Order: sequence, then C-alpha cells, then structure tokens
Amino acid sequence: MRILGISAHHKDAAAALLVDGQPVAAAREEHFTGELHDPALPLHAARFCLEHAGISASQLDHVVFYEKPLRKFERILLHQLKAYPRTSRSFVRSAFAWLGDRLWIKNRLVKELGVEFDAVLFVQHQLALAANAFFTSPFSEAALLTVDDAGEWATSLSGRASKNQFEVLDEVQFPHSLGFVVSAITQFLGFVPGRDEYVVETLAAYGTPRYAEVFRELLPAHENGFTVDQAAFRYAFDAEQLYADSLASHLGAPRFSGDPLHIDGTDTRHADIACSLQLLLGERILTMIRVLHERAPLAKLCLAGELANNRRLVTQIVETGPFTQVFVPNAPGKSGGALGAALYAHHVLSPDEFGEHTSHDAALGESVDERAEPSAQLLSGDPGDEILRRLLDGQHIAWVRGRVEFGATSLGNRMVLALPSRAGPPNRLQTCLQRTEPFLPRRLAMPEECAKTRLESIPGRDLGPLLARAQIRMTPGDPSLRQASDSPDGTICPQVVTAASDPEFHALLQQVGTATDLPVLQVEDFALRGSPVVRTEAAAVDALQRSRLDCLIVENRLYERPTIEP
Amino acid sequence: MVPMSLRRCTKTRLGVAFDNSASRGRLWRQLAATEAASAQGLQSLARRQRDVDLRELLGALASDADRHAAALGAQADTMGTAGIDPTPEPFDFTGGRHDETRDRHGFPISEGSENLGAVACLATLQVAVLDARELYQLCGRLAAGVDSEAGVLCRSIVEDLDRHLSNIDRALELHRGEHGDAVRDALRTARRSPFMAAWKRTGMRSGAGLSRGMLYVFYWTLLLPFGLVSRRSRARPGCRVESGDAAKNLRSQY
Repeated sequence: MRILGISAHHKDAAAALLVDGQPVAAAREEHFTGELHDPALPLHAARFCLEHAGISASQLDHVVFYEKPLRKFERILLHQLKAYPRTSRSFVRSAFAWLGDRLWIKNRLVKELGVEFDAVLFVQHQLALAANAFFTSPFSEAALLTVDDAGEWATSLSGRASKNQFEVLDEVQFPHSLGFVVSAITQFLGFVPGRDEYVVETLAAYGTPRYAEVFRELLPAHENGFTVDQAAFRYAFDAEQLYADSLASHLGAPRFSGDPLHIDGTDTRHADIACSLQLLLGERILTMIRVLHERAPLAKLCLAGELANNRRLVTQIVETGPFTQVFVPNAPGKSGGALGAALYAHHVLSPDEFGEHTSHDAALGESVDERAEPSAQLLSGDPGDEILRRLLDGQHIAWVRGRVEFGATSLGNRMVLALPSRAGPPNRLQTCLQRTEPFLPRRLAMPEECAKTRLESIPGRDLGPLLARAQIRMTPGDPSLRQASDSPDGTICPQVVTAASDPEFHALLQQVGTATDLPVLQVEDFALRGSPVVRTEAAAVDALQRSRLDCLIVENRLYERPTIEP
Repeated sequence: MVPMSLRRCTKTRLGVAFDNSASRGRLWRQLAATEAASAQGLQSLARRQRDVDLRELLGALASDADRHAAALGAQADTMGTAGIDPTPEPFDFTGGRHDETRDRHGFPISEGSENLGAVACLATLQVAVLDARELYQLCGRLAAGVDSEAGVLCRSIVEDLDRHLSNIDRALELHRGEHGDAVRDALRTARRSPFMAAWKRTGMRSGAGLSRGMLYVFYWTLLLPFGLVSRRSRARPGCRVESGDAAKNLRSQY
C-alpha cells in the first residue's frame, strides 16, 4: 500500500511517502522553496517523494491530510464569534484564507496531485502527531502525550497505544493551549512566534523564576493539567497579536524587535520571564504526565507536539518520571504530522500489520547531486582525514553527505563543524552562519562513550534514543567540556553519535579525541540565518559563498570559499 | 523592445536623475547594486543548470554583471559620497514587475526557476538583456552631455550586452532547429508575461480587496446576532474523545 501524508497551512509543511508501512521519502516544503517554516501546500515535497519512489500520483492508494479541515474551521469561526466585536480584522483575515483556500484542501489535493477524490483521507491532528511518535519508536506498547498549540479543537492529547490499537484517554480543548502560550510569550519578548520559541527556551538559562507566581495565575492548575487565563491572551481569535495588553500589567512592558534584551547584569527581566515560563511548563506538563501514568501505568512514553522540541522540558520529563523510557521523534511538530498521518492511516487500514519498526533512519530527504560542481576538488584519501586536518588548523567546515534528514535539526548529514579548543570563541561558528545573537544554544557532538563519562547520567533512565533531543548537565569538575560549552547553567545540547548509527562521524570524533584528548566537536545545522538547512550540493556551494566558513566537503569533494568561480 | 509606457517612465526617471551630480551618483550606485545582486543570482542559477552551454552563458553574464557593478560603483565614487546612501535600493530595470521568478534586472531567479527549462530561461534572458541594453543606451545618451566618462562606461556596457545578446540568440537558434514551437512560445511568454503578470496581479488584488470588503460587511451584519449569542458560551478543558469506526472516520473532513 502506498500512502502519501501531507501537513500544511500552519508551519513546516511537509510530505511523507509510505510504501507497505515503511517510510521511503519525506521532506519539508521549505527545503524546496527556501522559505523558512513554509506553510504552503507542500507540492514540491510531494513531487519529490513520488519521484524518489519512482511512482506517479495515480499509483498512490491514499493521500492523507494531517487534520480535519471542517472541524478546525468550526473552531476558528466559533472563537471569532465569541470575541465579537473585537475580531473584525482577524475575522476578515482568517475567513479570507479559509473560504478562499484551506477549506477546499481535498479538491486542491485532487487537482494538484491528480489523485482520485475518494483516495483523500483525513486524520485528527493530535492523532497524527501521536502516531508519528509511536510508530517511529522502538516500542510496541506505550503511553502517548502530545503537547501542541492547536489542531482542530484539541491542543493536547493523552492516550495509550498497543500495536495498532490507539486509545485516546483525554484531550485538552482550545483555547487552553500551552503551545500558544509559549508563542505569545515569545512574541511578548520581541521574537517571532512560531519560529523563535527555542530562543525563549535558551533565555531561561540566564534568569531566575521570579515571575513564577504570575504564571501560576495565568495558567491555573486543573485536574487534567492546566487552563489558561484568557484575559491575558488573544491567540484564540487573533493570529497577529497573541497576547493581550493586560499581560503588561503582570510582566511589565513588552519588548519589541530591536529593543535591548535584558538578560544579564542588574536587569534580567526578559530572562526571568523566560525562566518562569519554563518552570510552569514543567509543572503543568508533569501533572499531565502523572495523571496519564495513573490511567496508563506503563514504563514507556512517546512524546510529540511542538513543545516536544523543548529540550529542557524533555529532560525534566525523563528526570522526574514516572515513565522510565521516553521517546521523541526527530520531527515531533507539524512536519512530523505528515509522516504520522500516513502511518496512522496505514495501521488503521491494515489492522493486522504491525511490523517491527526497524527503520528509524531520519534521512528521508533528497540526496546530494551525483554530479560535482565545476569548482570541486576531488579528495584522493578519506574525507575524514581532510576534515580532521582542517579542524586541527582551526577551520570551520561544512560537511554534507547522504540524504537530508527529516526533522527540525540535522543529525549529521548537513552539518558545520569546528573544534572548540582551536576555532576561536564559542559563538564564532554561529557568526560564520550569519547568526549573531550571543545567547544561542550551542550543540556539541560527542561519541557515545564520551557522553557516558562526561554527562551526568540519570539513575534508572535510558537516555539512549533521546540524547539528541535533551539538554543534559555536564559532569562537575570537567573544565574542558565546560569551556567548550560556556552555558550559564552547566548544561549542553549533546549530539551523541554511536558507531552503529553513524560510523563515519563516530570515527571522526574518535580521531579528534586521539588528537586533542577531547572527542568533542561544536556542530550546527548547515543553514544560514533565515534559511532552511541546505538540500543539494549546488545549494551548499551557494551557502558556503554567503557564509564565512572556510570550506565545504561534500562526500569526497572539497570546495574552498575564496576560490569558487561561477 | 521596451514597451512605450515603460520607456517613457524610465526616461522621465533617468532625466530627473541626471539633473545634478548627487542624483547621478545615487543612480550609478543603484545600478551597481542591481548588477551586483544579479551577478550573485546568475552564478547561483548557473550552478543549477545541467546544460553546459547555458551554464557557460550564465557564468559569462554573471561575470560581466560583477564587472559592471564594480565599474558603476567606481563611477559613483567619483561623484563624491556626500549625501549619498552607501546601500541604496537597487535600480528596478523591470518597471516594478519583478516577482518571485525574476529579479530587478529581469534575470530569472534560481529559487523560482527550478523547473524552468533551457528554452524558457534563454527567452527570459533575452528579454532582460534587451531591456538592460535599452536602459544603458538611454543612460549613455543622457550622460554624454554632462559626464563623458559615464557615457563611455555606458557604451562599453551596451557593447557587452550586445555580445551576450548574440550568444543568447545563437543558443536560441540552436534550440529553434529542434523545438521551433517551444522557442516561439517561450519568447512570447517572456515578452508578454510582465504585462500578463501585472494584469493578473491587479485582478487578484482587486478581487481580494472586494472579497475582504464583503467579509467585513458580513461581519457587522450577518454575524452580529451569532456573535452576541456566542459570547455567552464558555470553553472548558476536558475530554472530547471520539469513538466509532476509525477507518470510517478517516474519510470524514469533520
């Protein structure tokens, strides 16, 4: 059975193709259009998936959309009416988008892809996210939790899954949405909602939770987890300004883009707001998890939704329990919904099929071009040796190989690398990629063996598959790693590499360890500021020219920035 | 080849620009900015081409655009820098008709032209180079009386563009042998598309404006009673768990 999953209309539109239950291709639309978090119907991504599998759209059995459009429109319309007459502008905006385009998604899919009308199916949004987490996990039975902004009505789902059987235990209904609260505070702090939530998470490390009581009032506890005080937020009916002016009476004046950011010295108000929000997110979600565990007393938990991108939160969930094994997919948010929708439909339509999920490889996107660019220099030896030599010289290197990974971050196929001890200040690598904020989180790649000794372990918890999605404390008394990270709270974002999952990268890290006594590299996604991760070799060469990186290595081809000719 | 209205509009703009040395300096800087941006775009487009001849042609165009940018920048420097914005808005060669597929020079943009075939690409280049040639000829004529160095520069740019034009024509001729209809259609599309695009854009904008206006009227009339009733209902968190046949639910949009 061939099923194409589609997610669109919010952010990170994506398409994913499933053949006989196995993901064979998946891509985000942003990779093709160059627009970061592109929400448009992912026709480029869908065509790529079909081309990669060598099939035409007419050979698809089903196309599955990741939400129920009528139900979502109902929710939006009702909340516009509830806020009458304050919604005249937002009503016109949303009604125009919905009546003109989004409501007719089935017709558009039929017309644009050329599939049969009856072949188009729809999965509830939270179910699609949960299915993405469960069916790509190594578990055959697990509790499920999604914490998102909103889909149709549900903003969060608790449930359990056993092989093909999904049981929804509880839902939190819109307008009570933790995802939207985070976006509103992101906007309140002068960042772009829907894009810069990770910045607010990072700021939390610089502050103290002095606004915790304010957030406890804004997010009152509820038997199921939480509610949201709607007097302080506008997201229920306004997609442009997510917080109400009254929020300023609780948290002080909002910050606007370009205003100074108060995160150190005597004034740490912005960091304190971020820290208090992070604390309350933890409190409320842990309550939900406790209630979920009472109703589904299992050892394993699959976590999805936009808030599953929050590394500190994930680490807190693992640390606190009661679930001993937690799985978060590489694309826990909207883009993962495309894969989840396809997986859910497959398991519903083929109820007797529940194979062992051996394919956890996130590399489902486009591979580098087979033909080299004219300016390429062929490397005669192992590319790893060349990379090591250049890293030891203090160079900043882009490394591109294989297929693009499907998800929020690259796990090794589209990376830039630097040796922390020789490549200048820690934020130099980010500066090379045109990112100038000094407080951005830094990722350190290390082999599994190193992570075991240099990162604090959590007793009784298996962090294995989670290590790329958590924020882990460094072992006290390890100055070398601390110097490489310069994190204010002693945590790092590790990229743990195992010999089984990525032997090439693992071997490089071992070589770095032999040469410098610290097998750790600073890594970042190979993406310039405001652009998605590079896709093809040509795009990589383009990005190299615009960056301040020293060179680019694509498979066994070397490009040096100053000498590139058209 | 430049349509009359555009030519008249451009001539007026350029006439104003040649009034004094400061505005001439600004114009050279604007032209330099457009050329520099186009050079980068053409390089990027060249890298994406599988056709070796087209890649070379684009590379040569990019290289010349880069050179022209430097020369125009130097010309601007001779006018002095007082009162001149060092990073001005690039000059628009297309008369406001650039979009997601073509830049301000009229050259195809690599991101918007992934599926553009070689013939369509050549046709777009031909129209862009003809437009640019016309513009630099005009600049040369206007500069001749007031700034002889600038006049010489413009004439040399026109010569470069003539060379590219003949290369593009030759490449199109080669394609015309095998795909005569495709070349004719592509050229027609490239020449007409700015007008059609502008016409469509105007239509879409006026349609969208009208729709928004109607929605606004609906909001204050039809929705008023529903809005007043809905304000009383209250949302609460809790369970809204669906039951029933999962396979049947998949077909429902609700």
